[in-house]
Amino acid sequence: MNEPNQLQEPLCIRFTGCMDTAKCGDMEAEVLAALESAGDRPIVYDLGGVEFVSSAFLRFCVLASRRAGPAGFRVVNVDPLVKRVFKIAGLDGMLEA
Amino acid sequence: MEQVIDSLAAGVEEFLNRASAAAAVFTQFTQKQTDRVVRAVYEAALNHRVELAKLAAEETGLGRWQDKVVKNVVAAQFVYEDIKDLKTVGIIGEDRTTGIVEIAQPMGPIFGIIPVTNPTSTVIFKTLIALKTRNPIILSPSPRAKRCSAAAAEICYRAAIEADAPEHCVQWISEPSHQWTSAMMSDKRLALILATGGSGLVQAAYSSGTPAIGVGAGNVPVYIESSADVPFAVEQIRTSKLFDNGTVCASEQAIVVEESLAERTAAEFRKRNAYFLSEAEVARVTTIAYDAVKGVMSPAVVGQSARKIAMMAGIEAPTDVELLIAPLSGVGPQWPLSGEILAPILAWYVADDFQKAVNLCLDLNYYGGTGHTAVIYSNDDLRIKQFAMLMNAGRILVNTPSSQGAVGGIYNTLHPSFTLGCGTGGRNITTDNITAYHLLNIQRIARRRDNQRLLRCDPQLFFDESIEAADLDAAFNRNS
Repeated sequence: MNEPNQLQEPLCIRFTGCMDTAKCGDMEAEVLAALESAGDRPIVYDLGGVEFVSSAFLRFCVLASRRAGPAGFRVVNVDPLVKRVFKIAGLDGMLEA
Repeated sequence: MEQVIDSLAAGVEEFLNRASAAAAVFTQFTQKQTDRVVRAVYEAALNHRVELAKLAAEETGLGRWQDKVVKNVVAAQFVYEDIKDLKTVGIIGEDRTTGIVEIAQPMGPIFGIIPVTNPTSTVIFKTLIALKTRNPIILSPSPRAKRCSAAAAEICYRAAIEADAPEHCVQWISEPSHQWTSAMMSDKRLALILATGGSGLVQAAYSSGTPAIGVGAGNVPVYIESSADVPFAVEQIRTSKLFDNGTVCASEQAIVVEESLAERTAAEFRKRNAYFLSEAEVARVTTIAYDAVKGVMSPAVVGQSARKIAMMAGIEAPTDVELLIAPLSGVGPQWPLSGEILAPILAWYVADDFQKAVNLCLDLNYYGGTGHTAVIYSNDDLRIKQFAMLMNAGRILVNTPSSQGAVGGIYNTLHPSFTLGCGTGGRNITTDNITAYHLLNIQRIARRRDNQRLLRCDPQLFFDESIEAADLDAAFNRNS
């Protein structure tokens, strides 16, 4: 697990729309490549405009958290419906306070 | 041993993590998305009804596959018809007068325990009602039916995923055991246990700390009252008791017939391949049907045919025997066949009159089957109501086969269900046939609607202890 360098500009990945299983499947390679390129930078997922998250998307979050460490990964701009998903899944620690 | 515990703990962790994620994702589903999933599962289950029934009969050695097909049809089609139009998402009710708005919320991960007697139908039933209410379900089969239950679960799950249901919305334990069940039931991430099984299992569910809906044992008395249509009654009882070789918990256990009808009723039973046991034969059947050490029915006879039981007991019954009827002189431990025996064995009592008959039914009702079901064959509405009000039974079936009747949807308008609540008599929380509505948390928006009577009343009156209740009542209810 990388220790993120908090002084570095975080890698910000912006998601929009319906992050259902099919869409996540289509973009998986791209997301994985982006995470790989982060190096020791913190990672931020911007969910402004996301109206639905599937289990597949939650897995993207878990991957990012493992890569950057819990302190180095944040999810921001979360709609209440989506925030509730993170809470029920026990992943609300990832959300921006 | 340490390794086993570690892997069990890890396994439980994985199950509940997945279920929690599925529950979370499910909260975003609309009614339309939810209903699409439910329809897909129903169709898949119905398509595989025969294959699953045969698998269940073959693996468990209990009952008859043809009757298990019927159970699968009820669990799939009848349950689906009952729940398909229910509003289970979002705002489900709004009353502008009262200002109350009802909102349906899912409960969260449900742990569904599956009995050996209905190993595929209960899987289908619980999966449908769980998914209809956006709750992921983890199914725990009986070790004696793990293959067929797993097959049913997989069919349901694949169909659900094809309809875009959340991943892991249906999970099942492939190697079930007491250890697995205990570990799962007490996990704090579980929202509810649906405990359909024996009393030990239901007790364990209640003791786990997780909310639970359980069931009770049945010891169903059937009262053939003096106004009954005897041939009709006997035919219905036969249909019910032979259904899946008597493995339904709601199946009849004892006949209580009024003296005036006794001979005719016995003749009708004999016409239909029932064999009345002699006193010595009752003793022989008791030996193999009842485990005197544990004080419960013997598993060896559960779901076996009357013919096989007769052979096991060394009784020379006719070769076409379908029902064994045991005339008894009492109810209780001295007469083990007066308790629940899930096989084609019926206890037989003759009562002088209504009062004596109902007293006998009460004895049976309170001997192991409290809260479950009671049956009356009668065309006297007053007697039906009198009987019903005295019984402690969630279901009082009238002129109906009990096995199918209690399950609901076939011979009456009870909700079709494979989890029958027995109320506090059976140490359960409800007497209902459990259905989708029991798996919802209903929230209420309560808009301001001031209590007008309270507003018009002088509040100081309440603090004046010299004012009597009658005067307070009058002041509170004054209409001017």
